[in-house]
Amino acid sequence: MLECFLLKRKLYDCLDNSLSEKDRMRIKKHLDVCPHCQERLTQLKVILDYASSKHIPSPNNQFWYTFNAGLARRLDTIVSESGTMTQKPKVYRKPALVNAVLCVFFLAIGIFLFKFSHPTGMPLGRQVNVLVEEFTSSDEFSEASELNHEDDYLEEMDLLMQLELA
Amino acid sequence: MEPELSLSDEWVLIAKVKEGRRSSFDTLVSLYQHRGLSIAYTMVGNVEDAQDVLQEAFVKVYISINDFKGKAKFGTWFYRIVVNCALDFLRRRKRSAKVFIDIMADKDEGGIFPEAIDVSTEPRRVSSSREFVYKLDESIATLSRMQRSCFILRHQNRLAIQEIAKVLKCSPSTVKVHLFRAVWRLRKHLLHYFR
Repeated sequence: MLECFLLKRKLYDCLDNSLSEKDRMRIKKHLDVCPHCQERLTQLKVILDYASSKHIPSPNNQFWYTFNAGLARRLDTIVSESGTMTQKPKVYRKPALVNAVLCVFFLAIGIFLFKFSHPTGMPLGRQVNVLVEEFTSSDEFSEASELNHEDDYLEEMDLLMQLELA
Repeated sequence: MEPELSLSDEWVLIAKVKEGRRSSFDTLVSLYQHRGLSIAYTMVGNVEDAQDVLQEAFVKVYISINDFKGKAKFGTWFYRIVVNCALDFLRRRKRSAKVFIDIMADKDEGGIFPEAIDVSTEPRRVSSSREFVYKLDESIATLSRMQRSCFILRHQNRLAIQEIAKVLKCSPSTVKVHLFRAVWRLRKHLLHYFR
């Protein structure tokens, strides 16, 4: 029974002529003593014989004339719709796909930076405004400090002139 | 049935088709139409649908001939297109069970096709060989896509296992497994005819 199980697969190979000589001998030996496997082999052989003798049509010239006319019509339609097939511009899909993916990636990063909170706890858009304000105010401050320096300078000059006159 | 053209001649022909020469394409069609019809017919089960499938396959060949780089033989590439067209057709129409009934109708009508080949190995225990053939076709239709494709290409179109593997884009051992399962499944379906 174990031999039957082991040889089950080999039965098909036996009919398909894809067995080694050693396996063929082994199966032959087994088949001589096992009517059950003999019956199985006959059944498989019948199935394969019937399948391989299936009626395949060999149509006449009239069939092929109609077939070729139909095919030519379809091809003419395709050619007239899309121009000459050989001159069709070649579209390289892979680079286009990579570029599209990169665009989406950078767009996503951009949206993320502008939409979601910055590590400092302030949206970047708002932070820019704050920075500009700070910058302006610091500029005004420096201007003011410059003016203060000028006043000091003038005061100093006045003092020197007074000393000279004295 | 096999195209009688050397590989180099075939390459010249394909190069001309790539240049857009319709006459060369017509030659290519005449070389492969018989084998293509045979595969399409065994897949879909009737001549009218096989004709549509084959036309569709040739249109696809014409459109995508520039994609054929010659890594495999043209025949293998073409058979793959025919098988895919046939499987698409079967999926679209969902009538794989019905089409096998039409085979018998085709035979009865006689029509433009010659008579069916007589089955020489008539089994003693099979009560009616005609009914058995019908049931066999019906059982083949119930197989999975891969099992059916492997079985039809191997046992009804006599393609080598290596070539089937290339057509179905799988390994030869996978083809063997599908064939084995297909045959045993068919036996299971038809077991009561042997009793």
